[in-house]
Amino acid sequence: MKQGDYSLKVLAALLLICILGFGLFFIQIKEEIPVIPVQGKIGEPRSDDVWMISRMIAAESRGEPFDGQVAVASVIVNRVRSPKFPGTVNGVIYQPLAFTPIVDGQFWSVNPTDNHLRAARYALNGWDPSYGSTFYWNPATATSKWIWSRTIITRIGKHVFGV
Amino acid sequence: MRTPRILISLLVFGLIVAGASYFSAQFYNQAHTSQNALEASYQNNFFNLIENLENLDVLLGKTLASNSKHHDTITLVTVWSMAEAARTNLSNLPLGIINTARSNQYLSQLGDFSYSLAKKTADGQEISENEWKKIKQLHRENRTIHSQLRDLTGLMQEKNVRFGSLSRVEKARLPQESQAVLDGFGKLDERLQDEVPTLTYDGPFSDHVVNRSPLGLTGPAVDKKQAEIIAREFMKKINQNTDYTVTNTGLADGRISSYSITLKPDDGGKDDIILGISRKGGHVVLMMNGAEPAAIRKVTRARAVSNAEKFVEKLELGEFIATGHLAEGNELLVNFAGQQDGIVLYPDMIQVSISLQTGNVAGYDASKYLLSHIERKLAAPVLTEAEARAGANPHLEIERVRLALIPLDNLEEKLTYEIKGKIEGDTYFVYINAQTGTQEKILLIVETPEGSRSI
Repeated sequence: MKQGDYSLKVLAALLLICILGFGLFFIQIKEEIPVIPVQGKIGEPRSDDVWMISRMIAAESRGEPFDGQVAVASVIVNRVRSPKFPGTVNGVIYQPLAFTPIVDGQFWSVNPTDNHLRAARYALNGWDPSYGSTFYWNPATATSKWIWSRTIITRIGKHVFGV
Repeated sequence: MRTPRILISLLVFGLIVAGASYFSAQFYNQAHTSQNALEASYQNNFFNLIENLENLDVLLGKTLASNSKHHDTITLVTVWSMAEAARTNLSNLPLGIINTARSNQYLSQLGDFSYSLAKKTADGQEISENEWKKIKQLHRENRTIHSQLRDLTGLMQEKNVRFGSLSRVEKARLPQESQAVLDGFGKLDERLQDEVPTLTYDGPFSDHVVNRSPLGLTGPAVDKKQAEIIAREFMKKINQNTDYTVTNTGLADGRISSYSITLKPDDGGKDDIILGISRKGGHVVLMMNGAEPAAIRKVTRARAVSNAEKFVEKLELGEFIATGHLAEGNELLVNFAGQQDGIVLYPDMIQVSISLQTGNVAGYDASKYLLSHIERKLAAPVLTEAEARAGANPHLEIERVRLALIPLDNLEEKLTYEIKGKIEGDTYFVYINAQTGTQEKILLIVETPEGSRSI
C-alpha cells in the first residue's frame, strides 16, 4: 500500500502540473487577441493617430505627469516630421525595434484613458513639452548604452528626452 | 494489486508526456510558421529596397542625360515616389534606428529634392548647373549604397543569417554572424553622414527647414526666478482669484531653449499646470493644465471662442483673428493667426484650448508664432481682388475673398488672395499669389459637427 500511495501522489502532482499548464496555455491565448483601432471617416484622418498614440502613452507613460505623457506623444509626432524616421504615425510606431510595447505586445492589451487621449491630442495639435525630442528613455530600465550618446533636451518624471 | 497500479500510473504518465509533447509541438509549429512569415516580410522589404534603388539609379541617370523639362518633370516625380517606397522598405527592416537614421534621411531628402525640382521644371524653369551637380552626387551615392546592399545579400547568404536573427537587441548579445551583418548596415549608414552634401531646396526636409532657428525670440535672456514670475503672472491672466506656487522648474534645451515650470494653484486645486518660458526674451511658449475638464459641457462654443479672443487680447501680442475651432474631448481648440493691415498672417499662429466645463483657458501654444514671427513689410498686391477671383476655377462658388500671407514648405512666405468657395458641397480655400496670379495652394475644409479642419 505504501508504494501505491507514492504513485498516487506522483499522479496527483503530474495532473496538477498538467492543469496548470493548460491554464497557462489558454490564458496566453486570451491575452493575445489584438484590438483593432476604430477607423475614422474622411476628414477625421487623425482619429486613428490619436488612438494609436494614446495606446503608446498608456503603455509607456502610465502614472507620469501630464507633460510627461504629452512629451512621449510629441516624440512620436516629431519622428513623423523628421526625415530620419518613417513619415506616418503608423510607420513610426510599428518601425521594428523602435518601441518596447510593440516588442512585448503590451501595446495591444492596454486601455487608454480619456486623459491619455487628451495628451495625444495636445501633441498632435502642436504642444511639445519635449521641445523637439525624437527619443525618450527611462534611465532605470534602459539597457542600450547607445541611447546615452543622444543629446539630452529635458527630463520629465522618470523619462529622459533627447535627439 | 501492485502491478496494475504501476501500470496505470505508467499509462497516465505516458499520456501526460504525449499530451505535453503534442502541445509543445503545436507551439513550436506556430512559432516556426510565424517566424517564417516574418522573415518573408523582411526579405520582401529588403529585396524591394534593392530593386527600388536600382530604379532610382536609372531614373537619376536619365535626369542627368535629359534635355527636356517635360521629361524631367515626369522622371523627377517618379524619383520621389520610388525614394519614398525605398524609405518605407528600409524602415520595415529590423536593423534598429542607430543603423538606419542617416539612410532614411538620405532617401527622404532625395525624394523631397527631386519633387522640388519637378515643381520647377513643371513651371517651365531650368535645372541649374548647381542642381545638376547635386543630382550627379546623389546618383553616385545611390550607386554606392546599392552595391553595398548587394554585398550584404552575399554576406547574409554566406553566413546563413536571417533578418529574424538581427532583432534580439535588448536581451542577449547577437551571434557573431548576425552582428557582422548588422555592422555592415551600420557602416553603410555611417558613411552617408560624411558623404551626402547639404541640401538646401524648396521642400519640408531641406536642411535649412529642418534646422531652422526661431525668429520671434526677441528681448534679453531671463533667469530662472524671472521666468517663474512670468509664469505666475501669465496664469493670473487666466484666473485672477488665486495665486500660484512653483513646484518644479526644469530646463529644456530644444529649438526654443526654455524653462519648464510646474505650478500649483494656491486655492487648493490639486492639478499641475505646466508652462514653458523661453530663456531668451521670457516668452510663454506653451501652457497646459494637467487637469482634464470633466465631461460636463456648460459652456457654448460661441462663448468659448469669445473667451479665447478676450484672452488673446490680454496677451498684448498684437492683432489676431480666430481662423477656426474644433471641439475635442471636452475642450474647444481655437486657432488664431496674426493680422497686419487687414492681411491674415498664417505663419504667426497661436492656439488656445478652452475648457467647455468652466470656459477657462486649459491650454496655450505659441511655438509656431515664436518660430516665425518677425516684423514684416508687406508689399502691396499687384493683382486686384477681381483679377484673383477670375484666376480661380470657374466651377468654384466663391463665398469670401481676403488677403493672406501663407508659409510655403521652404519657409518662404507668399502674399496671396485666400478664396473660400464651394464645389459639390465641400468647402475649399484656394490661394492665388497676389503678385503673380499663380495658384500656390488648395486646402479642403472639412466641416464636422465639432468644428472645422483643413487638409
